[in-house]
Amino acid sequence: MDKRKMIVHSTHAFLGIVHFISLWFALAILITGGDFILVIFLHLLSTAVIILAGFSTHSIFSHLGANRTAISILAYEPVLVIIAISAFMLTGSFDISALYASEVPPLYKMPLAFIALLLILPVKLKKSPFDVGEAHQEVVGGVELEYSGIFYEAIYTAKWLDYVFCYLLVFLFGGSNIWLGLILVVLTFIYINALDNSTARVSYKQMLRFCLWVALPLAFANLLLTMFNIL
Amino acid sequence: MNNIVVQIILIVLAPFLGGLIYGIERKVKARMQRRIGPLFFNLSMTF
Repeated sequence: MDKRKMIVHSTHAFLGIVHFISLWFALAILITGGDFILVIFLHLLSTAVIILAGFSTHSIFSHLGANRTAISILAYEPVLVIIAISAFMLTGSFDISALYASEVPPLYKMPLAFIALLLILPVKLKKSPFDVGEAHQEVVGGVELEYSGIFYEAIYTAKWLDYVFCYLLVFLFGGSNIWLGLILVVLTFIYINALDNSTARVSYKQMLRFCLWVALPLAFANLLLTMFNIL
Repeated sequence: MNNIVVQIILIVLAPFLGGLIYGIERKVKARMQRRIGPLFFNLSMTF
């Protein structure tokens, strides 16, 4: 028996597809070494679209998930923007290609920004302890709950694209040294999985507090150090 | 990332690469919990 195509409404399904495509665009610009700010805002657009999709249904879990995803954006997006500004201070350009071509790996010049990125990655990838956005025991997957069939596949593939996106951000810190970039990616992969396995979920307030009081000041300190050429 | 062919291949294959990372992650996570985890490329289960 064929699966029946079940959608909540056409806008909801459309927003799911837009989420996938905009994330793929953000990734394409990141790979081709385009503008860092454009990458961040395209990524933000993809998340904003999925939040809209969550709010467009009548499901309470979908609404809760959309709320929590919005709070996640509030937690990690300022850190990402400050990392982009730090990269600008370092290379004199928002072009990611300048970071790829950097002879001295950005890791040596922006170590605190790298630590800040490591702290917000579990939020972006929805990993424990910061997986409040899709906490299955609480909100049953959040915004993705009302999707099914090919549209759920789009959402799920977007999640895979997010993995590539995040690990490419880590890879950037290797600069022109590809091996350093790969080592950083592997170590980050192990760190995120170890963290996911060994920690319990915190509340969204704790997540927000942690990101705004720990990760954001770290990124900001890195910005000041880069600005005054201390590193 | 200067090679345009490599860039295009990476962009096109990004969903598959992400899926591969997700698969490896499931395996690694299972090993950390002393489970075997999913089998890779077990196409026989699809038929």
